[in-house]
Amino acid sequence: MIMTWLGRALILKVGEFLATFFLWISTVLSMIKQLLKLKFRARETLLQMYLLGVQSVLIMVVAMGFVGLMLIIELAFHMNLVLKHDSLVPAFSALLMVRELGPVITCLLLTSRIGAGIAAEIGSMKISEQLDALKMLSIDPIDYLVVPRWIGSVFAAVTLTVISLAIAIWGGAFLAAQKLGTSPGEYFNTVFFFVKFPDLAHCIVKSAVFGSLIPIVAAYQGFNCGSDSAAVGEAATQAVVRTSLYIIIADFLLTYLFYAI
Amino acid sequence: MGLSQNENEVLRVQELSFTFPNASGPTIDRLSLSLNSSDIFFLIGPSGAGKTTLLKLLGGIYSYKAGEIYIQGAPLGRLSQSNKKLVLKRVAMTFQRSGLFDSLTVLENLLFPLRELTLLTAKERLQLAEQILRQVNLTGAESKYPFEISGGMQKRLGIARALVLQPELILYDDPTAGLDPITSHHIVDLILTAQNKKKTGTLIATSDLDLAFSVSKKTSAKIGFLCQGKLIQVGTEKEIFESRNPIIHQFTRGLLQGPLTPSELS
Amino acid sequence: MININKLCKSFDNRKILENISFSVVKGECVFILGKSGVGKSVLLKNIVGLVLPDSGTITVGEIKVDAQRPEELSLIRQRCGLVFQFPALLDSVTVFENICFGLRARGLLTSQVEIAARVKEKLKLVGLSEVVLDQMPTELSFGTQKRVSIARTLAVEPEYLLFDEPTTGMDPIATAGLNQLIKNLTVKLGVTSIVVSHDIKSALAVGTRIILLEDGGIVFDGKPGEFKSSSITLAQEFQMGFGYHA
Repeated sequence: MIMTWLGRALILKVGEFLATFFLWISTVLSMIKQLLKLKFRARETLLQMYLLGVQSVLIMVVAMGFVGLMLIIELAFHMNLVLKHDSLVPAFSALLMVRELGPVITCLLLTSRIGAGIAAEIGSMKISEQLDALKMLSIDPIDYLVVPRWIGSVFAAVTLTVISLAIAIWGGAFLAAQKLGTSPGEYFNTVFFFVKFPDLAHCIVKSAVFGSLIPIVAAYQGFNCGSDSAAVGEAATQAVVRTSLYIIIADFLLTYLFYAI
Repeated sequence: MGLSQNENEVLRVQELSFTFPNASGPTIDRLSLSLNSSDIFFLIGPSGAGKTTLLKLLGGIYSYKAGEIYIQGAPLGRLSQSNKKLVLKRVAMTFQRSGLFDSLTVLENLLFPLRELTLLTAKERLQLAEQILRQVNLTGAESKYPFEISGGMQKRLGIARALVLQPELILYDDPTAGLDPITSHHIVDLILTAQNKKKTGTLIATSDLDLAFSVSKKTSAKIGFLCQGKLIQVGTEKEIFESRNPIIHQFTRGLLQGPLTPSELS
Repeated sequence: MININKLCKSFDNRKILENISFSVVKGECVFILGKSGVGKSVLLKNIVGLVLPDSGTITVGEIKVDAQRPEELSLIRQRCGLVFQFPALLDSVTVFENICFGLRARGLLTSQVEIAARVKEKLKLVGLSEVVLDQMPTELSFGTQKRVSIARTLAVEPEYLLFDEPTTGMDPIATAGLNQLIKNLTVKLGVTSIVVSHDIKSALAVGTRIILLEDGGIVFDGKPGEFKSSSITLAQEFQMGFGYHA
């Protein structure tokens, strides 16, 4: 009895998911088409760059600092287990940060910081008829709301990833000196021996892609917001959950594309 | 461009039908009406009859596939995006739930449309905005945000935003909803003064029968009764009030029993 | 009897209510009128302790409204039911659940049979058929939702009913229906009601007493007939409306 109920619920969910997924793809493609027209609004874009990027610096720096420290400890443990020495720990930790953890963790943190806010803001604007007012003034809501947030979000993602990588690697240098007895000179030499320009380029591309996902998914949730009391919160939650999932999937795809082909 | 019945016609709706994606039936059902510039038209009817939907179709917010809307002779459904934008510049609308931009101040709410849609200089924009604020009696509130001003003031700001682009056709969605009788009176005075000054076509959707009937009596404005998406009668206030149609009769008299009584009432 | 004595309330240094004093006896249907923002809703919320006065006292029966005594406040809220302007129904549960919510929360009735009987009785009182019991609030029209919220307030059988702008946003038919309902409750059930509104027509049709607020004070307190012939400017302006006569 319970199994039938569960089975049925599962099939319904999958069907619903597929239908929503295709609808989502078509909406996102039309949104991207609008974005590419790139009518630039200086005032709104600069505001978003400040709100999304500049105001997130502190949390990113602190979080990534700790990630960098944690990595040194973990990698030292693993390398000692296998190789019985840990001279390559700085290089590997830096590589892992640049290739994976830097863009992914920074953008996951950024998602929870700004994704919910964007979805909630656009959702409330829908409910109070502000989106209709924009359309009445012949202003495309995507032009006015999404494009500035897209530029701001990509700006935030890329700069914050770079800054937090720097902090993490510096933090690592400090801890390596304490725990492993590696001198700063040794540390940075090893790092730059292994971390090459293509890795940095891939890191920036990844953070730009993840940074683009955040406002697009959040805006989609906002535009399709319902009108009951739970709707805005629901839109915000869904924005964060879905974006986080898509970032992880995109990370896999991009890693495969860059390094496995 | 297009066929006008006469030069003064600012709005013509022909057999317009519209259905929402998940709805069981059409929200607007083969509706036709026409409005000359300097005319006032009241749209009355039970809640949920389609008044707001009709206004949003006329304002270009919803797109339609059946029938046609002509704004000063231009058919809205057959225009290109850029032409549609030009034509809709002549139409303005106020919203039931204010629709004011809550992240902008009172003054910025007026400057924003001017910046987006006109080629005026910053000085000219400021002058025009302040002039309109004087007209609606909101001077002194320029740097306040919409949530800081009273409901009546919010409605006046909505009207100001509609007037600032000097449109040929203004659509008002329940402009006096929720206001006390005295404030309502002031709002209506504003609407009528604006209409008189610029001879704009004015379409007012309202649930306040007193308002519709008394203004119609004074200005011989037409009243249209909308029910379930159909315009079942259009006439003067005398014709509507004395209508033999049972739906209109029940509604205008505020009777409890009749065709409009919901099924869940015992 | 509800007694309000020298009630004063300010918000942000603005005096909303100044030395308001009046009493409401059993069986009355008092309409409190005034312009938007004059403090009518604040007055209602003071009576049930949702807003606290700066000075002055309010007594419901023998109990004084005092935020320091939650059990007494709870008792007052059971005797005074407040019906909000927006139905405020819980949209995740059925109509039935909404109506018996207060009953269950206060533990007034425990047997399922008794609860169901009370819900159906109150539903009938507000003029709704049992068809709506299994529906969700979002499926109902605004007017019907309003009636359900009244049924919810009636379910705990309060002595006093407080209405905050009941007819705002309703079309003429729904307004007539609601007025009839308030009249029935007052006349047939002897429920005492205080209605805050700016709908003068409803006040004249249904009320037994009209109080007019202006600038923080009471400028009129008397019968509807007296209100009609009052020489107070605000009273006249309120009645003038748009001056339509068929």
